[in-house]
Amino acid sequence: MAKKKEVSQRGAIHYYLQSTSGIVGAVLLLFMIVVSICAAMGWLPHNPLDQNVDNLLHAPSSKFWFGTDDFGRDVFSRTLDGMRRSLTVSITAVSLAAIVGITLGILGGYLGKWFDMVITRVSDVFFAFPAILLALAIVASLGNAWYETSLAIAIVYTPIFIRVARGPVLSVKEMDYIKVSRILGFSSPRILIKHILPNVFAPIVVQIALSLSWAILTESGLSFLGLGTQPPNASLGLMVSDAQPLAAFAWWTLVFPSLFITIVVVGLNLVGDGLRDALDPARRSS
Amino acid sequence: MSLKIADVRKQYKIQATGSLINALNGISVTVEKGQTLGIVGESGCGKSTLARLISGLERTTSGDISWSDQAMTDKARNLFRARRSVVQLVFQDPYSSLNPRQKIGESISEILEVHKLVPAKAIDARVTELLTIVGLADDLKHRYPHQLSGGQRQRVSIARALAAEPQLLILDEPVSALDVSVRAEVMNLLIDLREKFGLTYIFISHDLAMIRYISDVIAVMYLGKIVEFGTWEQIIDRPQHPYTQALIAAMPDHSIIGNPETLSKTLKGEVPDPAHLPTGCSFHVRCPKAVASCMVTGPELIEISPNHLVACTEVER
Ligand SMILES: Nc1ncnc2c1ncn2[C@@H]1O[C@H](COP(=O)(O)OP(=O)(O)OP(=O)(O)O)[C@@H](O)[C@H]1O
Ligand code: SF4
Ligand SMILES: [Mg+2]
Repeated sequence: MAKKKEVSQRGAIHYYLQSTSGIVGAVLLLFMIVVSICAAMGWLPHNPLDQNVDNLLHAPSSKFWFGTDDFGRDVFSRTLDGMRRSLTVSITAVSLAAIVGITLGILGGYLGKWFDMVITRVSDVFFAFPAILLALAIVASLGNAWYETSLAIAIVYTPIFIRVARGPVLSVKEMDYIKVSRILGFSSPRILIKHILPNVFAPIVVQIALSLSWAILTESGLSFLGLGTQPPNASLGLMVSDAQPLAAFAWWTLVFPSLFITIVVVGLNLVGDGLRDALDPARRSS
Repeated sequence: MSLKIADVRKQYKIQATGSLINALNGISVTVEKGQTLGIVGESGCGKSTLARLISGLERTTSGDISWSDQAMTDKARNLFRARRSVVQLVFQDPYSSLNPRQKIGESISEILEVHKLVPAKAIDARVTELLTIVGLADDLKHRYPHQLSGGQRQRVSIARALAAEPQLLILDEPVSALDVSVRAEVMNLLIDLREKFGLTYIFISHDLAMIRYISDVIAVMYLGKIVEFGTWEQIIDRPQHPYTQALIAAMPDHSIIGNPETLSKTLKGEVPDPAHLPTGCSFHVRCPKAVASCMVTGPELIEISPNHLVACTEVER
């Protein structure tokens, strides 16, 4: 019994570190973040934009670790720089979407009535379109500076956060402990902050991790279709797109950026799994 | 002091279909301080709805509920606050009635803090005291609900209700979700607490043994109405209302009241849809003693002998 008590007082981080997928995910993600910081600081072996006519489509070597592309640009430096750009766009987009969506979703779920009705109707309209199509349409009308891409992705993901926050609030609101809180005469802000929020926190945090991975895919998709990052700047999606005609004889131009997309998406999903386990007190006790 | 419920009605509007559910159709009953009113009836007859109305969780559609002549349906905010200490509700499910993210101690101390029931310095001691009162060890304070058994959780729910210093405690099937082995302990605790704090109880249950154990008076509900009211001897040993008679006849062993399987042996048909109440006596579609007039006039709840009330025109006075 005494031991059990001790365990319960440890924080969520302790439980997170007990999950294998959580650790692997965190390592992958950390790697990607370090890589992006290096790119942001300019700590790259070559300038990602420098063209080198003497070294077109060079296979990976000690000088060009990931080889060069059809302009003689260093694929390694471009992949890292593309990673940074994808992460920046995605993190900005998901932060925006999360802040707006979670606030609206929680208020809608808790307040109900017309406020909730308007919010759900509007998000239903957004859900009617495939995410990438909607993002495409918005980028096409906004423009394709990085912050405009972010905004487009944010608009597409806001309804997801509304739904993710609203659903749990609706079910938690019906729990007996919320009814007890009302009978006990607790104020609405107190019930919302102390009793509802802590119980809807876990699915929301998990959703943030998952949405980041989708946002990275959306950004890549937009760039792939020519509506995200514009050449000569590097983005993972754009690199994959540009590598299409080259892949048959210069596999490195396709494989490395694709690998990075995969690693970051898998990493974020694993982090989501780890968080899901760590944030649920009932799962921990077993 | 007493709880007075006067002609209380509750309708729920179903948004999707626009139909009105008549959950309570004129409930009148008085419970004296220190007494326990047991409520029985088939599933869906409105027992929990009545509990929610008395606790102030929902408003009545019409009718009045008052405690020691202080209206509890009053909208005035100060009254709403005052009600906090008057009525508390203990729910059936010990798993959903405690916040899973809140330690046991916090869920009790929160009430003391919010309503400033004890000085800040005395809160911890008071939490210990409340846990002791319900028979729990002090070190449970630091646990989360999922680390407790169902019986322990239900004791915490009771301690939390007591923290608010209520006068009336509504117990909506408080032991039916617990292991049979711990039911008796919790029942004994409830009886001790009633004596100790002079509490008034409303005890809802399908378990006739529990009802007998704790209740002074019993109300039998059918389709949102009280059809019979009286003591154990009056209701269980000499039931007068045809519905009560069918309920009792369905369980010679005095076990689970209103069990649909056994009840089907003594009572034909099903409970009508509360969205479309039958005319006259709402029991007439199933009543073995129904006469033509039953379809037209709804019977009043009338005293047929001291403190024994029956709502049936065909019962001898
Ligand atoms: N919020 C609601 N909206 C619509 N109908 C409701 C609502 N709450 C209760 N009802 C209906 O009111 C009637 C009474 O329900 P209630 O929960 O009070 O029954 P009960 O006697 O407590 O049943 P049980 O023994 O199963 O707990 C039922 O027909 C139920 O469907
Ligand atoms: S009033 Fe008529 S229908 Fe109703 S219980 Fe009495 S006999 Fe039956
Ligand atoms: Mg009920």
